[in-house]
Amino acid sequence: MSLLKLRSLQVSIGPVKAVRDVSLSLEAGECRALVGESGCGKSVTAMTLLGLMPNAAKISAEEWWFAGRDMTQIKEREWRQLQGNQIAMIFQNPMTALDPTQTIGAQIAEPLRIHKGLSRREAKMRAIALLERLAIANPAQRAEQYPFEFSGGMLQRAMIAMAVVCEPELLIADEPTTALDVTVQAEVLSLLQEMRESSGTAMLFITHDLGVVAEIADSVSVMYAGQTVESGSLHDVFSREAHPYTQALKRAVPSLENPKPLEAIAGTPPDLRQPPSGCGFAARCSKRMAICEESPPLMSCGEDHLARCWLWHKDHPERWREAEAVSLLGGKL
Amino acid sequence: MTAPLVDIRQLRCHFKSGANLLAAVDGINLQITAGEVLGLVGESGSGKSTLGRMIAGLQSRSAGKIYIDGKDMPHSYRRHDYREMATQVQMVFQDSYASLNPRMTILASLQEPLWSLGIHGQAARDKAAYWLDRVGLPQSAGERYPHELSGGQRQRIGIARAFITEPKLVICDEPVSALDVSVQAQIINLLQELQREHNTAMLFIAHDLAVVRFLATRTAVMYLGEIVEIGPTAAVFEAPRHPYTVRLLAAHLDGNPKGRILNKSLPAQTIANRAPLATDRGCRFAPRCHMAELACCDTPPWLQPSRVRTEAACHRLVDIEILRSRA
Repeated sequence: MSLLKLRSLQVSIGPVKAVRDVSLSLEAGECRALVGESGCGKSVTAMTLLGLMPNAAKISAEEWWFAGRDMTQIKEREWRQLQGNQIAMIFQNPMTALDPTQTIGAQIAEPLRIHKGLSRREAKMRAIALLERLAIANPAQRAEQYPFEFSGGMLQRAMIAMAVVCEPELLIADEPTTALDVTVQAEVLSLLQEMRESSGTAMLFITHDLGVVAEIADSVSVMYAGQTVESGSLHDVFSREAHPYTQALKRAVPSLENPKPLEAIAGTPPDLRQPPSGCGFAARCSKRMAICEESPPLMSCGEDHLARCWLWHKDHPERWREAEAVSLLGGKL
Repeated sequence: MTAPLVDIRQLRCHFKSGANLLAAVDGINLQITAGEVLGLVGESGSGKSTLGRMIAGLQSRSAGKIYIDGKDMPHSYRRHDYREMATQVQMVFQDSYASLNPRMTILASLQEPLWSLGIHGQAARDKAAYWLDRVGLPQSAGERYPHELSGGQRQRIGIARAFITEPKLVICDEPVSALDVSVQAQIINLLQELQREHNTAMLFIAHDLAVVRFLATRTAVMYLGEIVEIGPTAAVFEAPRHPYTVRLLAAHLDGNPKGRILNKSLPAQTIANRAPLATDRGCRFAPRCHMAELACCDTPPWLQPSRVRTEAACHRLVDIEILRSRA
């Protein structure tokens, strides 16, 4: 059974329909990347999964299971047992996510004291041991310092320590390396990778950086205008990208190996106060058809590979022709 | 050879930080010729933004000379210096919201640089309208205020504002790092178009290596206040000589799922990033360098030219070359 199963999540905050239709699933130990541009609802999805949305937000889902629990029925008190314990989060900006008036050590120890009932001393010892594992020199001394005394990369490591200290089953990382330099980024990513391998934590990795995705993810979900528009294994989404948005996104990123002309995606994402009734990407799509006025469901375009695009409808003629060609070739493609 | 547009000699910018003297930019020599795009890469704290701000006259220097079009620029600018500079150097900033006056309409913001050049009235309005169109915005956007535009649209205004005085050099300080991928490509393409159309020289500061690779004809790599390697972009990216450049390129993630680099080529960096001090001796990269030897800690390296390849500041270039040819 999956660790997390989310079907058709919808979140609206006042007039903004921030998340319109998000479906996700995560196995234990899997790392799924959630890719999308700002305003596509990926952070709102993360906050919802962690139960951090304000009460004013309207949340509904057809199905929402986490570790065998039906999360649509969950109570406020149960949420607090999950947060920081079974589900933890690494925030994008450690400088604002950490408490400036508490020492780093105390902040890392806090979840242990709350969830595992450890004493102040024991918790501190564990925090120091964890800092050491995260390659911070003089961990005992560093644990007594305050966030402003840490550099950006070190703060992010402290943030990671805080998130993994209770060995959560699900770790949500919201753009954990966006604010970091490439060399520090590589270091933080290998740390996360190592943590994941040693404790079997599943990870939802939110980013807009395709380079990072290729490096760390097993599977990828692409979001656009509040919907998951494509999901599949890393290989499927990167080499056989099915949704026109994913395809356009890949052509818009400059590459180090072959600097070819960039194809920008014309236009801007839709206003989520008045989301379009049809396909959210249609206005910017080069393969737009008449049927795109209607909202497409997620359609299968391979094994465990889904795309929210009419091109993949079984009655779409081109697809049909392609399928015929495949069968003519004896399934070799 | 004609004189370079910008000629920088032994430029220094030191800040007081407690009892220490922080060397944000420490003894840089750099030439930018007319019409070229020079990429400047480096980690945060390497001094690349400070260098750009000094050339634009937004940051006073501690020592050294800056010649722009042959003219020796003063240490700190007065009002009329800025006016004179307006047709020479302009800057595009990272934060497009902070760089526009929130109480001025877009059209007024666009005309502002023209007013300081003494162009007023209809002439200024016409020019602003032309540039609004040139950067791909509708005329109606001119009546709006900065907060009513998206980040990509605001950055277009920032670019129009920089190009409107037809400067000889545009300094772009991380102009796309705050933007989304799809918008990023639009802005990069626009910058390239304008640069070619007006044959403007450009100093392109970025930490995103792929963007620099795409835009720049020449690339300089900075580390803790110094240029450690400089040369034609293709040479820097394909045949880097300095160990730091090699490390920087190795850390770049190129979106290729097959070539995962983590847990392979990168030794964990155990030494915390530190600030460059004026009292530093030797090579500043030495504590992180796997090739460092005794001499590296005592004598600062200098940029060593090469006929075919890049200039790099490293004592061990020859050894590195030998090691590489064996491998």
